[in-house]
Amino acid sequence: MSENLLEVKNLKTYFFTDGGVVKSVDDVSFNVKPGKTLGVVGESGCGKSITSLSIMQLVETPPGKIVDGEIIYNGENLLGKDKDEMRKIRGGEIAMIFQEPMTSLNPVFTVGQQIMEALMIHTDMDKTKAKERAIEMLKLVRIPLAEKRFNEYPHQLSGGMRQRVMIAMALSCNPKLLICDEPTTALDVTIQAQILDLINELKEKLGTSIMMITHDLGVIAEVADDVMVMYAGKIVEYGTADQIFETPMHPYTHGLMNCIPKLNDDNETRLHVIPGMVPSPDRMPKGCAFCPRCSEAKKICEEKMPELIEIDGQKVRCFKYTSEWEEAK
Amino acid sequence: MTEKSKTPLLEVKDLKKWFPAKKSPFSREKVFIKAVDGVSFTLNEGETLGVVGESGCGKSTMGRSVLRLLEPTGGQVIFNGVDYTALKDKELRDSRKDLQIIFQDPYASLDPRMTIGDIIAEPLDIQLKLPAKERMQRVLETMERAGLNTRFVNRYPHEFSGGQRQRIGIARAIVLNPKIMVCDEPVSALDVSIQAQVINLLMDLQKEMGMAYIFISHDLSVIKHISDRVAVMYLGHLVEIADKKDIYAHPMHPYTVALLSAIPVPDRKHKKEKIVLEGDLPSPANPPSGCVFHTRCYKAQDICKTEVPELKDCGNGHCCACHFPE
Repeated sequence: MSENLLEVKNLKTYFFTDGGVVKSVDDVSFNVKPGKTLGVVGESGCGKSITSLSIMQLVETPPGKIVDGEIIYNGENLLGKDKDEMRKIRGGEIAMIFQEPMTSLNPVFTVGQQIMEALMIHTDMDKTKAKERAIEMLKLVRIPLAEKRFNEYPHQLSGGMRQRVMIAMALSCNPKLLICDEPTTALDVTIQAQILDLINELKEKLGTSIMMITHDLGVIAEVADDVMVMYAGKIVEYGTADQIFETPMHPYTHGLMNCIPKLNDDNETRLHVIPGMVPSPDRMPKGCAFCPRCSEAKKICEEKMPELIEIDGQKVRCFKYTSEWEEAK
Repeated sequence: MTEKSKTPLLEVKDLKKWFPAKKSPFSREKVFIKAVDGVSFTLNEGETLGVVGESGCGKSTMGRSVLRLLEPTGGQVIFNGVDYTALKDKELRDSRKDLQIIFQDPYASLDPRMTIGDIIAEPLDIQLKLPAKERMQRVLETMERAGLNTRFVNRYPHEFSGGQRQRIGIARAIVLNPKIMVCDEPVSALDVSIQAQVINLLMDLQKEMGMAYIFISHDLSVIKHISDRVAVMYLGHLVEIADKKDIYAHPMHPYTVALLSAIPVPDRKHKKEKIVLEGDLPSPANPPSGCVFHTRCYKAQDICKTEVPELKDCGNGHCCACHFPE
């Protein structure tokens, strides 16, 4: 077995629309280590969700298509698998939790039936065993009165409870990798704290690797071991969580950190602002995608896209850290 | 800002908003969902009161009831010495120009069939009926103030991004130079980099125009940044209200303590002890007896189940509704 559970190499997912080709995920490479959490941060439209959907091969085709790259899970390339093989992996080996727990649960089945369904597809359990296991899972995610809740429909549960059911369902087949796409964004802070606690605890207990996708740097700081920052379909910075939070290198990461009001400092002045907004995909700048909003941009940034370079184990896509910077105007 | 002698700009006394509901589709028995149940506070000129709480705590209903966008079930709202809740048609309409609101969803709160110019001018058309030239002048001025390019005056909302739409909503609210603005989660739907732009804009406008804000949000970090005083709501009740510095440095109500400890902080060095509250928010149709928070409180004792704690001043205007404040 290789050292990484999941290796994504040069993934490119493009959308072919009437308005042209949208490069939602453009040459993205990263690894998820066994038992560790990879955090993926970025603003809406940066390609973080499409990256996760590409791993699961849930990108709607057409218009979307994985045009290039490799997704190596446990030594096997998932992109070479056919539909049936993928179906076995999805929900079994790799499970996913979505942002909106109401829309991702089926309203006409009880939550128990929905957890059982996953179990009966992916394992050879019979009905009674699956039911036992489903109740056990509901208890594991700390749903009170699990036997009673088993027979309830999603609308009878609160948002936090539904998200727990989603987690129970995702974990029921002992996946090795759990992809969480903004799992707490729709929840209140006290409920968010409960869910993050639970995800961290289950990671320790079951040894599941987690890919945590969120726009909230606070959440990332709390759960992630490694962090990848995305902007306009590309990785702009990639390193361990300590590196990213202590020595952020890319101007965008800097900007993100500084533009959120912080609880632990009493600064009353204006917030630091990243001017402008994310460029629309059909009007991508020729050079670095962040350059129109970057305060340090030089001419070279407008002209060509910087490469992702590695400095002391931390990867960054910015000319600031290359030899070309000194010469550039 | 701490001139206690001055009469407040707005005084809300025992405000209630109950929504009638039926127990089941067939029962005749009426129950009430007490979305806001006896909330009192004051707001001074040019001040920002942050209102924070989880979804369903009644903070938006409170904001709307103050403006009488929802008719309050009980209580008084005294604005500039006049009982705003007793005003009738014409008087109410006249005073509305001093109280404006910005909404959370910048997509749903703008009419897709009106141009930006018409959207911003609508309050003017209702209140002032200015001649066309002056009207246009005012619209363009306001757009500039809100950081919108005046070239866009004849465009439609769908041509704008979320952050720009929120600016349009802000322009519509400030065009009449209101004295009070209720901001109902104005930045929750926006990306962080855009959120910072809108918060800065709101703070600049306040400095320029001297408006008072009631700033409703679930985000304690945003509230801390923008507010002078902070009110914490739980299940229709105000559980704590104090100066920003006091409440963040010394929260007194256990709910505030838990809420503050629950926020993930983007800082790996300052890992703090988290208090994770058990369970969910109870339903406001069937609130717990006594203190509404006792079902989730880590300090609850027998008295909390029977007696409703009053909002008491614990010194320095720091008010807290708890039998056992920290």
